[in-house]
Amino acid sequence: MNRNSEIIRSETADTQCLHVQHESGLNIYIMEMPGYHSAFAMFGTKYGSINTRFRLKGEDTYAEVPEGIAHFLEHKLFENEDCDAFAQYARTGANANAFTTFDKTVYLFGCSQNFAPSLEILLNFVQSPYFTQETVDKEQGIIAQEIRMNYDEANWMVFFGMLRSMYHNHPVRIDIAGTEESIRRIDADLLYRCYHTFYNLHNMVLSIAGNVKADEVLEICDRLLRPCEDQGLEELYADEPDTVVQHYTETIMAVGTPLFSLGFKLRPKKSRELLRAELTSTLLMETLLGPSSGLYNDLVREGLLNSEFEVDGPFSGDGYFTLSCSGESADPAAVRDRILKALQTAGREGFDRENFERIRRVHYGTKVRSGANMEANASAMLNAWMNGLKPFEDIEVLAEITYEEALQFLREEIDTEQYVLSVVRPEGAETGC
Amino acid sequence: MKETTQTLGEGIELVSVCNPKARTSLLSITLLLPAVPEQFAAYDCAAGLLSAGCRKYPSLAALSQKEDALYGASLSGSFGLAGDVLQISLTGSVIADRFALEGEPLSEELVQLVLDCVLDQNIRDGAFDEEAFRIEQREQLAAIDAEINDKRGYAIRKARQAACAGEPCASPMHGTRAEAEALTASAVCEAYREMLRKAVFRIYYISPTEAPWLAGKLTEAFSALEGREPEFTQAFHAPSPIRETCREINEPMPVTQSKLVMVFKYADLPIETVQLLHALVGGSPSSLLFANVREKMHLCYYCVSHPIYTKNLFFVDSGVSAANAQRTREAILAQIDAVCRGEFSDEMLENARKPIIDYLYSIGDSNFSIMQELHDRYKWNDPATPEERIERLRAVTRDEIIAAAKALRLDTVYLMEEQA
Repeated sequence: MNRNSEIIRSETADTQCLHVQHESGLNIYIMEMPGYHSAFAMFGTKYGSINTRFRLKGEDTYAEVPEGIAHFLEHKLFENEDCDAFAQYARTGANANAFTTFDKTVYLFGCSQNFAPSLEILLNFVQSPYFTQETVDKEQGIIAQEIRMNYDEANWMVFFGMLRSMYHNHPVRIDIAGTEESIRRIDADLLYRCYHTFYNLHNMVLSIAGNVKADEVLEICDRLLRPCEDQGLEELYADEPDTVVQHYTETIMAVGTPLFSLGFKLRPKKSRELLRAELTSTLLMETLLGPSSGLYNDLVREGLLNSEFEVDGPFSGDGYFTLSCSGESADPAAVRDRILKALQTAGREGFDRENFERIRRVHYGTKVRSGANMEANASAMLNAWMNGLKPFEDIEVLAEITYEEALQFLREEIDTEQYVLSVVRPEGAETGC
Repeated sequence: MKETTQTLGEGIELVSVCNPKARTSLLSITLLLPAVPEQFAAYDCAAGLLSAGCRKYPSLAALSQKEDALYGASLSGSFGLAGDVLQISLTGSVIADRFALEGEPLSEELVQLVLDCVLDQNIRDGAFDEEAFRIEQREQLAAIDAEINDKRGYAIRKARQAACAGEPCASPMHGTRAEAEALTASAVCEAYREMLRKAVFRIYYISPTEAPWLAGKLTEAFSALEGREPEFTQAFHAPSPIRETCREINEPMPVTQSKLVMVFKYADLPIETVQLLHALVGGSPSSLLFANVREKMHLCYYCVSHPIYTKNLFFVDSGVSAANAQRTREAILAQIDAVCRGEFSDEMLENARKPIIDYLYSIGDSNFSIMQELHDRYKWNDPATPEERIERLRAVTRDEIIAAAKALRLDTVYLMEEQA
């Protein structure tokens, strides 16, 4: 088969990968890691829980499908006509799994032996949908239990509480698995429709890192990938205002200590602008709120926070961009007030430049560390493609971001009026809200 | 990979591994002590303070800034049991020296940092710094209060406590709330000094380059410890006694999904046999529990097994609706009965071996896995290499698996029952 290929190298991280634009339409990234035993493969599509309205080239109207269908499809794809994929993987010993997020579905495996047959299984089952009404009905019970399990997960509930209060219309406010009601509306025909729309190789990526040889991988790809035509997929999202729905929400659950998530709604961005905003905001939030910051240590000393507190990574994608932090506190409102004040003060007066440079150094260290991890490498290459970027662009951008740029970002992009505080608390607990 | 073991003093052993492909250096210091539940609260607080500061970096802020300056070096503490042995660890990791942007000797700095945290705490007049102690005590109390937040973990813990009543692992690892509240900065200091006096130290260092300076540096640091009286213990394998009758616990809770935990016990079986039984019964998406209880009967989203080899315990846990709890329990027992009757194919057994072998082959890819492997060898007093363990695993027969399944005795059933 014809392939366009290029080597992409990062001198800083002392690593490189091969990018192949395969004739089938698929983008393939391969990072050979000599000396390692294991390898990791991810086969992903730009299809997640937010992709509920779409049309193809030539279609006049947008189709609207039930919430949770991308996740449902992920479950069902493991089942082929004669045998399920897990049973096939059992013969190779590979450790296989899959996950669905807001904007992607990824099928993956890791192994230290039998890589080639495991890759064949991956490419085959993802390209061979088989749905019947009987198997769809069966899956509804299993996924209903998964949804119920999430309802008891305090961290999950506090995060979704924040998203629901932040976004008026964007489907990011809906649970990835949907609801027990929405999954009841899914049938085999709808699954086939979504499959043929989103599981087109032009909308997909294969990312592999570890003990592999690129030539052997590409030989398997040549043999098993079924060429597709680009269908001109278009997606539609409802207009989303810049403002939040409400500033505060709470959920009562059987928990021992109140949990909170404090989020800020930012204007969404795309591609390299998004990458730069993600990295800038990460450096900024960790400088101002991370474990080495003055504010974090003050709040811990005052008993308002404990070590469960985290500055969450930026949460961003098509039409949404949120910065958040989360943790446990007996008085989440007091924590919110202090964080808002700290952000406003830092915006006016600036912040600790030395700490900012130290945090940048931490992120350089993180990139170096992850270079030894097959899963992290495969995931980084896959995510770069999903976001319209090249692998290792993040390392270059990280080195470029200045203190002044971070300060400007804080002043111009983070509107402290557009915050949401979500709290999960036990019955009877005071939260100061 | 080159591995070296050196004795640095009585009850102090260093195992170092040169792993040329590694991008990080790792130093872990593990303190091993007999498990005495009455001491858990004070020891847990002292262990928490190890990763919160030291004399040189007396606050969390100062320590965090040092970690940041070392390119995000990580320091993580752990506190737990292996059988009836208490294990307290502090593990540090840093990027390899060759990645330092200004040529800093990062590995040596990491070693010094971990040593400072373990051996040179911020103590004055026989007590930890009061503020640091209060922060750590609040952490401990918050952890006790938050145990219910993770429903699945809570259910498994409650089942284990019931199954092992009277044994150290039935006691709360953070101590009780009353015990934690009663701690003082001086009491925790005394516990810390006792830990250093009585512990057997296992030190693991894994790095891409050899470190000829390491043993001397560690020996010098540890020689400053006074009054050492290490209490050697080998109670890593402490089987929980098998009971005649099964204990049933039903705990109503305002949750949307019930949690079912079944605890089985067994008399001594080789680890490889239990590993294989676990893989066959409930250790993977091709296991009997997944294939039948989830995929055929659609009773749950997860139904998995997990053994605790040091206690001869075999757990099965699942998230179910209360209405299906009894059916799920019967379905789980039916799958174990099927193994007892030999109702599994040779192919299933061979397939169950593969992921375990696959993992054993990959151990050298991660410093952390190498460290765990080294510690497992010590715990089990078994010098077998991963390759030798693979051979043992391959030698486990079908009859041995059937006998192992027959050896399982249902000891405890815990149900967290959903209430509207």
